[in-house]
Amino acid sequence: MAPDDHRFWRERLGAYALGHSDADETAAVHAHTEGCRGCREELAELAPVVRRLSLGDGERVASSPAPPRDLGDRVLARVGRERRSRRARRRRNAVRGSFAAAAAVGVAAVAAIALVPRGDDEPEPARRGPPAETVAFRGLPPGVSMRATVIPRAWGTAITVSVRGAPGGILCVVWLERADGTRVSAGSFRYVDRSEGSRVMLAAALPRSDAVEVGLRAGRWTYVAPLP
Amino acid sequence: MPRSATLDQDEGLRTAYRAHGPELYGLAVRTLGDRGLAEEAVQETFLRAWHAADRFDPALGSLRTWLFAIARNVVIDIGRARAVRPRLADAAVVEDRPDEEEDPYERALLAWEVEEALRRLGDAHREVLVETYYRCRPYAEVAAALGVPEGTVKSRVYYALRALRNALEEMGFDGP
Repeated sequence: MAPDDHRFWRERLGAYALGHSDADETAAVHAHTEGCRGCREELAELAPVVRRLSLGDGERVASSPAPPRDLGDRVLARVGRERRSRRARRRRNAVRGSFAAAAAVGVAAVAAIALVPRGDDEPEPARRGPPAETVAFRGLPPGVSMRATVIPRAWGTAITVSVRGAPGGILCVVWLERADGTRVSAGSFRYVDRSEGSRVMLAAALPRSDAVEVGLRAGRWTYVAPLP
Repeated sequence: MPRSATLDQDEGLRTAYRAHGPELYGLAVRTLGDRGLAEEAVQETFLRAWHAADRFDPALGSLRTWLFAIARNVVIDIGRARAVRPRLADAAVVEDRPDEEEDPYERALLAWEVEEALRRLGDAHREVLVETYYRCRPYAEVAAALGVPEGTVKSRVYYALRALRNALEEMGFDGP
């Protein structure tokens, strides 16, 4: 094969790109690519592939671990639970909406009565704080309880997590989840095993109205509690 | 994907899991180094996909690419959440977050991508790259073991790199 044959050179570019050419071959490839735009471009295309190759582990290439047989069923089951929970949230919201409408009528009536006798110089009643909502995590091991109370704040959501009965020292990671499944971290803590349990105040920079559930990972286990 | 098999229905999820679940699991095991966490990551990936099913547009990219984009976020979330050092709030650690390139989960994802692409090559191509590059065996030794001339091994290395480049592109992993 003639040395000026492109195929001859290109078939040497692979070893060269991998840094496997000896001094003579390296000098020859340099000399050739100086004057050959096609081979220069070819080398430029191989360079990122070699960089990617350097990130891999050749001993892991032979096989990839197979998932447990029931993982597909568990995926469907988890989505099924979430689907039911979403439907329940919608039902609750619909019920709350009708209660809210009814309550608004009542409040208006009370306000009308209250406003009539009060003079303009009387102080306004103290404003109520934002509503706190408490949710419990389900499916916990026997003897373990975990609750989260969320309170809307101007800066996001305050979350108080109460844990009781978990293994002492276990790392707990807490987040709020949006409807699209993305998460905003609320922080983490280690559970201190005391008879009265641990109570930790955390914060997430996500408006309460944007959060659909609180998630808590304790060690290797993950629990989620849908927010009303 | 026909309407009857979209991700917001069990049949669509089942089909998507059959097609992509095992590969997603491989990615999760490789990046998280833990089968239990990997199982959780796969479930979480499909759960997020289900939540966002109405935003999946096959005209913009394949289901596989979309699921892998979700899975990347999931394993990074799980990996970071698992980090031993407790963090109190995202806002407090923004400056401390390492560059993407230094993130061990990003690195593990890139490693898995190239390993998966290598698995898709023909045996002859994969073999020469594993032997000469990863195992650092001399070309003459590899040639003798394979019973072919040394020049053939060199030429296979070249075509293997080209095939690897194509495989990475086909998998949508043609980043830097």
